[in-house]
Amino acid sequence: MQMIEIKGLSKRYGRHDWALKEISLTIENGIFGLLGPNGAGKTTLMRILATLLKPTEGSVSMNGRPLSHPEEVRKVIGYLPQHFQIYPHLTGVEFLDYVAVMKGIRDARRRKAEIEERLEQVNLTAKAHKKVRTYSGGMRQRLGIAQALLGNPEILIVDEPTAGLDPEERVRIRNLFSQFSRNRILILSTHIVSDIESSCQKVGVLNKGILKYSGDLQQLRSFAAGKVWEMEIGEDELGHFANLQIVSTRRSENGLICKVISSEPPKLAAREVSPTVEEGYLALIGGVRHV
Amino acid sequence: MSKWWVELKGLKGWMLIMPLLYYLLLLASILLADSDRPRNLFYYNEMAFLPLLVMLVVLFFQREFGGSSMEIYATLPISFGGMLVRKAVLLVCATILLHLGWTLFYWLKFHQLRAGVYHYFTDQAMREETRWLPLFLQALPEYLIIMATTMLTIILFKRLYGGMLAGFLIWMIEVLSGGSLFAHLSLLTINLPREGSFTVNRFLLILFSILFFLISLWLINRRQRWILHEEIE
Amino acid sequence: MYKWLASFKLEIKMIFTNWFLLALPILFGIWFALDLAKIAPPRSEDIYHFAYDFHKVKQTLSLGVAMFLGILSVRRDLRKPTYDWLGSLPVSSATSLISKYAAGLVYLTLFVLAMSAVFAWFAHQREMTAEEIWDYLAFYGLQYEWSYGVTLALAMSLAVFIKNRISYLIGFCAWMFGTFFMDIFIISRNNLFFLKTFHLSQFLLNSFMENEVWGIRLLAKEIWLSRIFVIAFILMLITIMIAVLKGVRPSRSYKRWIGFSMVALIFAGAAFVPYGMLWQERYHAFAEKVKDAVTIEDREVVHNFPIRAYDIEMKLNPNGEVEVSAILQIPEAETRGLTQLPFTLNRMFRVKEALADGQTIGFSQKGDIVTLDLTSRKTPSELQTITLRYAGKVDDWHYRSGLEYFNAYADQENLYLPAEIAWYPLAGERVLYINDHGTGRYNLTVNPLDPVYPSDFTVKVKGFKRKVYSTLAEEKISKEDQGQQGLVFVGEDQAVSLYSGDLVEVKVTDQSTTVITAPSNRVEAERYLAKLSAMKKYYASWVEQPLHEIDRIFYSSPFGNSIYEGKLHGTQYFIYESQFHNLDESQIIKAINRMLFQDLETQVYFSDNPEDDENFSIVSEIRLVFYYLYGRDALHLTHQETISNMRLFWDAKEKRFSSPLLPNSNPYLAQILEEIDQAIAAGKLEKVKEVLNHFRSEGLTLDLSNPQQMEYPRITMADWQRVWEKVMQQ
Repeated sequence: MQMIEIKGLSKRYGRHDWALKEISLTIENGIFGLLGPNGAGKTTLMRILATLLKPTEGSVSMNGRPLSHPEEVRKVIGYLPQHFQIYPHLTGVEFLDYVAVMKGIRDARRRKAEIEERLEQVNLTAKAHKKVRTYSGGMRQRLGIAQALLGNPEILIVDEPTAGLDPEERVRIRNLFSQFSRNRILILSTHIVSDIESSCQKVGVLNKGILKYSGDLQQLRSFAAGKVWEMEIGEDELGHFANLQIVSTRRSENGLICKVISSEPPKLAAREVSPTVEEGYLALIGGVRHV
Repeated sequence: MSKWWVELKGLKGWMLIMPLLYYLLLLASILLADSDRPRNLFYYNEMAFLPLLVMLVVLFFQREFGGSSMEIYATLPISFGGMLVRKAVLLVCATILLHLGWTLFYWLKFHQLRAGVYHYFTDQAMREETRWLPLFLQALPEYLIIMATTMLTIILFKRLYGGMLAGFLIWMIEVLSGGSLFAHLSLLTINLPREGSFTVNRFLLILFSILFFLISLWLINRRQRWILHEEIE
Repeated sequence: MYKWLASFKLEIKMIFTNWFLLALPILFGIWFALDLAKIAPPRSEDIYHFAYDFHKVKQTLSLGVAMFLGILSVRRDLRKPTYDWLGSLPVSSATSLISKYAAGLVYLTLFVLAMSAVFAWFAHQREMTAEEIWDYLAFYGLQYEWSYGVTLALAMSLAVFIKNRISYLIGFCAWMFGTFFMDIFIISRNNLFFLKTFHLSQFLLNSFMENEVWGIRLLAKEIWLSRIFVIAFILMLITIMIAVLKGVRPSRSYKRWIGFSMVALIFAGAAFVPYGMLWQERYHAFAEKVKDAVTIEDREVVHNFPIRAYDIEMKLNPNGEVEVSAILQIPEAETRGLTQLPFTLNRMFRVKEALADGQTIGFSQKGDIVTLDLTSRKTPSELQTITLRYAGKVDDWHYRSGLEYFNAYADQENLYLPAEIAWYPLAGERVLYINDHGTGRYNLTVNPLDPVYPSDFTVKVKGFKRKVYSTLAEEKISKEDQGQQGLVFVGEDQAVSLYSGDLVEVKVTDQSTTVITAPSNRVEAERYLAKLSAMKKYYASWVEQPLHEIDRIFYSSPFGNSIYEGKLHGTQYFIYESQFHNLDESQIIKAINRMLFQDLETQVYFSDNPEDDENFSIVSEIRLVFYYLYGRDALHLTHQETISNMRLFWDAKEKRFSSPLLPNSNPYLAQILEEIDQAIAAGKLEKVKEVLNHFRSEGLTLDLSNPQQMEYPRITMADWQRVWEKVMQQ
């Protein structure tokens, strides 16, 4: 059984700036989604797990390997950051070959086979022998995913992996991750809640460095249970509800249909609806406002 | 006026340390000298002053060049030509101020300004007492050419270090080769060929400075050049 | 290892796919080729000098590339946030860093290869042998590598320690400071030569390395000690860089690398010690010289006396020590009644034994003065024999006006023993060094060796690998000494100096004169000898009295401050070369002067005021006519062409000896040349030669060695006219 155990993990910058505060978490096989607003500490946590940052306090064990032995941990992880660059002079194949060697795949034939497989999986075979500087943003993202998958790491840490990808590619990558995570751990940090919904078994929510929630999607949804209201309003009425958390709006024949998170119905005609994961998440971090 | 202030604000940062330290070092070398044995003015007026100007140009361009912000700048509704002119004017003003600064320091320490003075149009050169303005005007063309070269290289290669390398390289070549390479286009007055004309040399330097500046203006206005595929440095 | 190789390949690709970087070594080589292609008469054709000029300027400029590359290679990914995801890969920071360093060094080696290829080609054109070329490249190639190695390491350190782009600015300032600024304003101005090891290339603008024959050889020990320190310094920088990177990116071995850094620091410190001690010895020895130095007014010799003969045996021991046995013959009258007899012997040598007529006597040695105690000697013979046996390591490092050199040196391959440094006992108490305090700093020069009585010298030399040359004539190699290059020099002279080094003997057929010079001057020497031979043949065909010989011409860079005037010792002529002073027309004229008139003096006019009976003479004008005739008669040149070809004075603008005969400014010369032109036109060339032979037989020698008492024939225009008319009318 693969497992990441995080105990009392904290990261402080300077004297008083806590990016993470006493995070305790257990992550098991499968895809673990990490949600949180900007500045919540997601990237910090990812970077700590990817052995790029040293925690200030706490301990982490990655499949039995303590983070205090980063060289050991690096042998079993694959990492894709949110913002990254790849050597523009190299072709896709050359770059993956370089990463494969660094990951310890010595046998050239085996390397070649795996590189071809990964390129196929991310749909980059046609551009494999072109220089990276000719790639679009989406292609670079896919190449980044391919390098993270090289060597079949036990743990995959990906930060916003589908950013820059078109819907078709996004589905493809989601399926890839699902396949990959069968007997492995995949930590997925994203803003796109649909990515979480479709693939994650468990999810964690960070806000201001604190772990607000860790558990399954159903429970996350329940934070917004009885608090999600749908109502039809005129366009000129929208301003009246500005103080509420408006989750979505769409046009209707008579005006706008709004979904709102509120402890009470925002207006008489509002009807309660079942919350989505996103609404549960918003309710959790944004708090529930009162009319 | 605000655009001028914006240019000056762009000087803030770690890069400021080097030219500042360098200038202080120059002043310190004057301060620590023996009052009865004035240092050779040539070193301050020409040899040691030129690298400072290279650093100054780099300082003025550090905000626009480097980082991924170049592409964003290119979309702003600002005149790049105007920006370049502002920077050039400010550079010249800074040069004047810095030059005045060390000259005053020198004069206060040694109570004289005695140097190898070259006269425009007569091409006469002799060691004599002089004042700030003739001293400055004598060296101004070489200041302009080294700043213009640094500026052009930064814009041409879109790299700050490109300009640094070019500026320092020219200075080093000039100092080490004793003028054998640049001959009639020598920057330092001591390297001027004996049979050459000081006036012609100075005007040639000014001409090339203007030419480089015009090329810089043309290059900088080609906004498609500001698109980057990768972050610099 | 395979990870390192992959990393190294990536770094190589980064560099070698950059067209700008690729072009630079090629441009560097082309630049060097253009510089060397300029070597041509009338300037010196010494390829070594021109090459060194290139190294001290252009190689220094190429260090800017090393600085730039070092900073860029680190900033490109190691210190860039968007590349720090690479830190999650299981590859050590040490691997990344060392592969960058290695790739950078491989690239910079291209500059070395470009320089080597160009030099080898041009040197081959100048008839340098493969061994000579290899010797040169082995030194300068390594020096290049070392300088690139340390600059690259320094640059990478800046980028590792300083994350901001200011590292570029600091790097370029370090380039400036670590080369030219350090050279001129710190090392040379303050005579702090030990700081050379911190100079990024050690190619100083004025360096003893410029002396081809002895420069890099005499500096060899210092340079190798410096190189050892620099390697240790580089290792230290690399270790510290790795430690810093391990601190930035979580690593279990961080503390271990802190430990390694401490060790590397200590190791670098320890590596500096031998180098530091060498310099301590040098400065200490120099300070001792300063203590005993006097001003020029106080340099009188105390108790000077003649030494009839010297019989000196000098041997170089395997441990590098020079062992000398000097037997002096001194007329008894010179020591009658004396209880002490002083000699001057360089303090480098420790006297082991002193004998008077075979009997051991007491002696004391203080500084450069050895005083013999004559009280215990038995009654001396009429020509008493004083024997001194002494030994010491000869290594007299010196500096003056920001330039360092050696006053004396001896090892198996190199020997530089000028008489002035008292390597054999000189009569009386002499001061070896004069101190000119003009600038407030020590300004020591070797005291010229005068006054000194002439002696008969027999000098035997053994133990040196290369041939030894002397200011005395060479006698023979004795059979038993042949294997060790033993030589015997014999002759009467005021002093004797010995030299040995990387010298070549250049001869041309039908020419008895040999030029002994550095390998780089071979072609120039051949051309010179060919010209000399032609002129000699011409004069031999009509001058009545035999020509005076020059057996050898030594043409080499001097130590210390260069001296243009050559020196004549018997039949050997010493020419000191500088970059612009070469085996040119003026040297031809000097050699011909020696052959025709026995002295070297060139154009010295005594013909200002014909009323001045005491000083006036047209001897110089008559001497010049001999060359004029060569141009008109042998080369069949016109009057104007001949005038243009006679080059005697230095012209700084053309950087050569020029300034023709200028007959227009010399009315006597103009008149004489006009008469000669008319005689040649009238077919009376032989009569002209007869006139010249007449004056030559009367004597045309100049001896201007004593400015107070110049010796030269007083010949008036009337004298010339009288002889001219008499011969022409015959």
